Amino acid sequence: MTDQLTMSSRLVDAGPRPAQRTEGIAAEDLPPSAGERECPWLPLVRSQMQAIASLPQGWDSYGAPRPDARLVSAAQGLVECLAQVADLPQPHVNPTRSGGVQFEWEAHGRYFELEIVAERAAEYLYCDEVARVEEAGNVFEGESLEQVLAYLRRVGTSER
Amino acid sequence: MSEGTISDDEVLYRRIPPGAPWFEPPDRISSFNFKLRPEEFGISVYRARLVDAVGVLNKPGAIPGSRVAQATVRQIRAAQDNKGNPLRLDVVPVSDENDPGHAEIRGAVLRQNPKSAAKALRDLFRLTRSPAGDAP
Repeated sequence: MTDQLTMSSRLVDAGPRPAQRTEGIAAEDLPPSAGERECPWLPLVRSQMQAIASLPQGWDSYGAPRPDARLVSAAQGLVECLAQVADLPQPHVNPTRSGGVQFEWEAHGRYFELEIVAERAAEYLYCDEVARVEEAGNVFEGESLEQVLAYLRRVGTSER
Repeated sequence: MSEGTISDDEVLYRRIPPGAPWFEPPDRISSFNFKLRPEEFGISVYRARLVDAVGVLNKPGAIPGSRVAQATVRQIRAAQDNKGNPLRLDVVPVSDENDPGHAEIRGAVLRQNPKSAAKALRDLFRLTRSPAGDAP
């Protein structure tokens, strides 16, 4: 068991949320009632993932392929993992034109995008319109999600 | 103006599929609309001087409920990333007899730094009023 939130194989591949998924997550990352109180936006996001998985070929009107079930499953596992952390803002959830899924958070002039590009890999982009910051990177299975969480917390705060 | 160039003053249209099937707000444009698939050379757009918004929505393959977003060629060519670096995008005509008015936004950055480019394009394009006159 690691001492920090990670993009672990088990979580990413888990599909539906287990009753309790705290393995791989540090206690300080979790709200007091984690595992008992569900993230308020998670049910909607689950519905969105199901809807995305059902999209037909050409859903974007420019010939995009059907979403890749493996990538949708990976995306669901990742967002379920993130949803265990307290008070993260609700993401926008969209399919991508290459068969993946991307999550977007946007508030207070800040933007964070997390795209699942493979079963065990995601790419991200963080932008701060005011500070003119742009940072991009990858996160792979087994790696810490702390950087992702740091960006998400930045998007979620109005402080500068 | 030569056949191979498009004036900075031209307006471009891009179809935006409805997000309703996966419960996303109808008035929000996601960056996914401006990311290339592996087999694509550029982001497909239509020149407003040759195809109106209704025509764009009636193209083969268009999804019912789609919206149209627009930007000028000048905006595309001047696009910068969030740090102010030029993206060096261009717009080139690729029309044929069966698809008049078709053009593509092209540039190496669409492959080299696709997220940055897609975000910049998302920020430039604005939903038009729908052909029925509804506000976006």
